[in-house]
Amino acid sequence: MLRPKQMLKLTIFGPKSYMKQVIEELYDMNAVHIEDYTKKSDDDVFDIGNPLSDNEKHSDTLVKIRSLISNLDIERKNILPRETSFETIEENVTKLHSKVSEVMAKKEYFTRIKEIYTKKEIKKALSSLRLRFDDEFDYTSAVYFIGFVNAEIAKLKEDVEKASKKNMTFDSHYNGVKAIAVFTDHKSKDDVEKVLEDYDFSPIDNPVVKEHFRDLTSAPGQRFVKLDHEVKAVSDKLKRVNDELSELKGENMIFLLSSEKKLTMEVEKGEAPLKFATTKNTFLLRGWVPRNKSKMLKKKVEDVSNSKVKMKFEVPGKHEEVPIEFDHPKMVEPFEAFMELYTLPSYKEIDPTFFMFLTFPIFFGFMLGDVGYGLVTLGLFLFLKMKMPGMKNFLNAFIIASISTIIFGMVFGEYFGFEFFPPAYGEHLVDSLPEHLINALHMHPMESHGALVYPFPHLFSRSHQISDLLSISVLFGIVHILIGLVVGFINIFENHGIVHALEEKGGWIMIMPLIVWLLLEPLGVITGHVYDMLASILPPLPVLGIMFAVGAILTIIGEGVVGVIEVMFLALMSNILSYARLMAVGLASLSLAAVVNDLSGQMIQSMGIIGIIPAAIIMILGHGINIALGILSPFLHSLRLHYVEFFGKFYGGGGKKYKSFGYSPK
Amino acid sequence: MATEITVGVGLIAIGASLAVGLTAVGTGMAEQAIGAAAVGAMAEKEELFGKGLIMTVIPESLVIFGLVVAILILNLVG
Repeated sequence: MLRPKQMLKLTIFGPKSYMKQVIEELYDMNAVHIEDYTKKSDDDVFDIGNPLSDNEKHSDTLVKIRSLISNLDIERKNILPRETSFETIEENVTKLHSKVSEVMAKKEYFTRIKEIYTKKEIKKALSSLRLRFDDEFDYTSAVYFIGFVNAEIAKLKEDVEKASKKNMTFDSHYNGVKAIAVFTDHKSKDDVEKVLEDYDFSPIDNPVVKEHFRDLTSAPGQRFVKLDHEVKAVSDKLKRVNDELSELKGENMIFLLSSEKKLTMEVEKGEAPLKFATTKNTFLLRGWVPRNKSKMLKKKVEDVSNSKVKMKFEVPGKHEEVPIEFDHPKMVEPFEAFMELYTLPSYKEIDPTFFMFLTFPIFFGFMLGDVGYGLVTLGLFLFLKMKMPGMKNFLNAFIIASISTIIFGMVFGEYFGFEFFPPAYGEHLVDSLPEHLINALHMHPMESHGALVYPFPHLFSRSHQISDLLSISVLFGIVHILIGLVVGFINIFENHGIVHALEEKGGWIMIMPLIVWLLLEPLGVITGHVYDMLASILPPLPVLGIMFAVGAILTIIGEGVVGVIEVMFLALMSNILSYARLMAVGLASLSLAAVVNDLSGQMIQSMGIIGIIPAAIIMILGHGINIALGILSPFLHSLRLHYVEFFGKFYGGGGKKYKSFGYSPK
Repeated sequence: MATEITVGVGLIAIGASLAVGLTAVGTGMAEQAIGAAAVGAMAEKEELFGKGLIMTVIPESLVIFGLVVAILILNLVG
């Protein structure tokens, strides 16, 4: 739990003829982290391997499948790959791809035209057509088709030529759409129309064209042209295209998704040799495998290769960079996300995720500490978890933190910033409850602004015991940092021996008591019960002084000049005082809540029954903002206390993540 | 049991407010530079959001020290 999973260094060596089988076996096991082979110089015996033979073909198909999935707007779902042969997949995908490309082109075409129509750009589009007639062509008696087409112009011209002996065709581009004007004699009108129909001809209405013709000869006409008819026609066509697309989507969704998965797996396998070192006839791969899976791996690879492929397992050396795979119970797993946000632990140090699991929710709850807010955030995060399964880990951490908020809310007796019963009810309650219960839950009436108030049951009141709150916060700091130093001591002791551990961390641990004394006596930051408790533990002052001196010397030896500066400026003290934010952030959120409640209370008092409306608005807005801040700020500060103050005492980090070779659902 | 407001109490209150206010200004100045750099880094690489956010709140300690001092000062009045 406090260590990442144990890894063994793995080397596999064998003849190339077994490479494919070995890759299949490794992929199925999904347990080996393969290290990339890099060629250091040209003299190296080994070369980087080549992908398996069919890989290129599969990659091409995969690219097509992915473009189809995005074009057809298919939502990714977890669908198991099917037993379809690669040939069938390839054939179907190629067919589907050309079909969909065609429909997509149509869609694009109609969308553009619709845009031109609705933006009233038709005249501009038309004037891009340059009409120049041959002298012998009698355009006044000709039939004309003017509009947009979705086609290659050369091919279209060819077809028009076939349909009509006597014709003139002009074309132009406007905004990505092709505009054409075909003039032909009456005789071939129907034939030409049929040809154009094949190219999704979308005519421009007669009045517009006539208008435009006048433009060619005289001043531009200003007549407003209604385009409703065209817009509707294009919209209908667009709808038909979209229907066609969604039909294609419905028919092929499962096929595409399952094929994508199958090919992704195949391509991953096919590209594996790129990480291998190979010679003409052999291959070699290095990597890491969790210790508990090594036996099974050995057996499987030997079975599949008739023991021709050799394997070696080694315990990692001291300076090797071993990939990190966390090893936690399910409860702790959400907090791995926070480690990934910072940096992963290295293989040789204690993995602090478990400490984070213990203290992060405590700090968060201690700062937010309100039953109402806790319930709201709990509901919010449960809802988000349903909506965004990808963020599951992160949100689970927040759910644990919300529960801790509710518990601390009960301890503090805070419910949406309210701390007191309504006076009449409170009086009744205090009279009816037994004395010892009232004592235990601190429900005695208190005087506040000249009136008696009846607090909710609580163990500790944040608003009335500010200096105690500060003391408790700082106590959290002392304990947290001490834990950090001890973990640091263990880390260094295990890796570099007792001398280094004493110099680097032992010194700090010995300085600590004097700092605590400073906080108690001259500074008076810690008061009340916490003071009594700490004062009873601390040894007398001279002992503290000697411990400090020894600790300071050790630190200076261990950490050099930086150590001196840190000792002089009492880095520990500022680290410990930094935990006062536990109090500060909490009080800020409590005060804001109280202000919101007071404001809305005044509304009702001054405006009577109508005041309920503004009061409700203030309540919802105010508490809404306060909850938003109440999630962000305790989260950041709690995280910061871990990252800066806590991790600063022991954490090296810099580990790389263990990524097993095999299928990983994303 | 409102405390009687004398000049001394007033000065103590001013002292406490200066402790919080000035440290808040300091925090703001420090966070300004870090925040700008963090946003710049995020524009290059979006995954840095988490680290950027953490970096940005680091100077927040200053204002918290200010608050602690303010509370200690206010304790003089009781």
